[in-house]
Amino acid sequence: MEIRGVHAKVGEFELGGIDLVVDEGQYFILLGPTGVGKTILLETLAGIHPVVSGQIWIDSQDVTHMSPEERRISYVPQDYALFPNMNVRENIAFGLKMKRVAKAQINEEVASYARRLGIAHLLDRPPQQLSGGEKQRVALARALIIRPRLLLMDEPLAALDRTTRRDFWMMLKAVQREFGVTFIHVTHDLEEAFILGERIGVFINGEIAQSGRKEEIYKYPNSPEVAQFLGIKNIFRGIIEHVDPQNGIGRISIKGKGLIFSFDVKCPLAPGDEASFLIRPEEVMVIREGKPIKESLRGNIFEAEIGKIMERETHHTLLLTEVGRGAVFEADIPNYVLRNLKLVENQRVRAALRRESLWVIPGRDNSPAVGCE
Amino acid sequence: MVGMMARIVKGGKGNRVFRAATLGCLMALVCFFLLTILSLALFVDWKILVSTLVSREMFFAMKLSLLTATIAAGLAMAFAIPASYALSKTQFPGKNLVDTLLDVPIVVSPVAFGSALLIFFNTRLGTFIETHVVQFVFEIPGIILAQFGVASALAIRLMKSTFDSIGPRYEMVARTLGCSVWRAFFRITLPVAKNGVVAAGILAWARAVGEYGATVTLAGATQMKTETLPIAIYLNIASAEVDRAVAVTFILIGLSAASLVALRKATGRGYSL
Repeated sequence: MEIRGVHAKVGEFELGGIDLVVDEGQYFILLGPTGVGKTILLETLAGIHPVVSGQIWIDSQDVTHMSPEERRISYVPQDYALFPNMNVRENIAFGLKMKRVAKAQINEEVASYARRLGIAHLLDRPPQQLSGGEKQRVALARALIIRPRLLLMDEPLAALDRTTRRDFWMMLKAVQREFGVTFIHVTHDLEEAFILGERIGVFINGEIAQSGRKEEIYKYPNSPEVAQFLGIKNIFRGIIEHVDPQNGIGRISIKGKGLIFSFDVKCPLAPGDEASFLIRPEEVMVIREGKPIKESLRGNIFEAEIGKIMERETHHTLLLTEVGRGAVFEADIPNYVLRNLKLVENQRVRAALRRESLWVIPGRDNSPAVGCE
Repeated sequence: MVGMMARIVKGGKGNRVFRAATLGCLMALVCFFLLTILSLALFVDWKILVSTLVSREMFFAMKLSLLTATIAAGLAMAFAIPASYALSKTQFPGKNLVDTLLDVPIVVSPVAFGSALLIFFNTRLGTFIETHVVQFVFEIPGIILAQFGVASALAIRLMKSTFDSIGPRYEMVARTLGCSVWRAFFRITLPVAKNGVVAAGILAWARAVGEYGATVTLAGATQMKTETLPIAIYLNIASAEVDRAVAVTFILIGLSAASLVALRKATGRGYSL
């Protein structure tokens, strides 16, 4: 599926110039904060809202101006929208009935989809008597039975509790593999996005700010805005001090603080360029005294004082203030490291940023990086 | 009784006063309506009641009322269902104005509405309709038109709130599953709105049966010609046949009660406006 420069307008809300490519059979996650137009984009893909300009292609077919019933794109909305005037069986059969498929075949297929989704025992129940998870399976069966070219899901797990949600991650992934349908799954939940998505599109302010493999998005957000949305706290404005093209190593200083760090050069950069740089909190190290220092940490070591220590499920988050220039870093330290090093608040430590994890985004403002690997 | 009241209005002092005040008003209103009906029952001469009920005039009035009200309510629903759907689901310029305009027959006095209709049929267009299409003024179609006016406004109001309560996603999903807009409406939205449709239909019918002001202004009050049940009450009171008027009143109350029972049955557990 390919979207080229799609503009849509629904009431006061405008969607501007969306470009997106999703490969066949892929589990694609559209990730973004709530209220930025993700649902409107899905509904535009499904053909519910007209496209003002741009094109939507599926399997090399231009579907931009096709009506929803011709597109073969299934849609599972956030509230599942199971038809309340029909029982589960009739809900699942609905799409086939509309296509005037023979009754015997409908019965056979409904039974098969219900069995594969584990809802065979619910077929005679009205939707009002189903739990959130059951409703979701019914909605999936109803959407999949028409063998869609694309399945759109809008926050499908938002209504479920945390434990059920985890089970459903596995279920959704298995269903997607089994049926081989291209999924576009909208969510605002980072964990869900990175567990489920093969590729992720980060949707901010009515446009796709970045789209790529999940590792790419995770390690190399292409703008400070995307990084911020991904929850990265250590984002700094900086100036390129030096670039060594032979070794592929550069040096960057934090703007206004003068603190200098080394990084692996992945983008075209020159001394004097302005850039943003960021590092994930789990890549910020606290150095154990007496331990030999790895090459990748050299040049990135600084003296710091531990501010607050916050306990999390699997780790502790430390606020490290660099002694001298006052730059503040967040560091996620595994619980056992914290215990071994006996780290406490107000303690002075030596900390370091791993060179290869320091990600430099060229550009003066929030504009996305161009030409980076 | 006192014990029961004490049980109902138990609680802290503030609570008690509040409950007593609200329940008091409720009871006052119930007494008011009960006393009114009771006075009718006490007043009525049962012999005259029975003879009135089987009289030719009464049969005529009842037949005319049921016929006109059923046609008017049917027409009102035929227009109100699509119109209220458009009002609920479509965005168009001047929507608020249209919405307000459709409320006019509800809030304006029926006599005023009837007068407006009467005046309309004195305009050039109205006269043309009268002479070449259907004669409304002082004729049975006039009754239907007057009833249609007030009943459709009520039906639109009720149906719009029904459609408002049905989210747009059912139709969206239905369309992605292969439905045209028409089929999505007939297969999903309308069946989901069934209770609302039935309730609106019953209330529109009941309103049409009871319609008097607009009817009498447009269709007049001619005995055995445009004599619906409410007009029969008026004619009997006007000719000092109070017993007969009371008999007709009983019929009307019976019809209203029957429609309320039907309404409760149709909507499951009561109805909301």
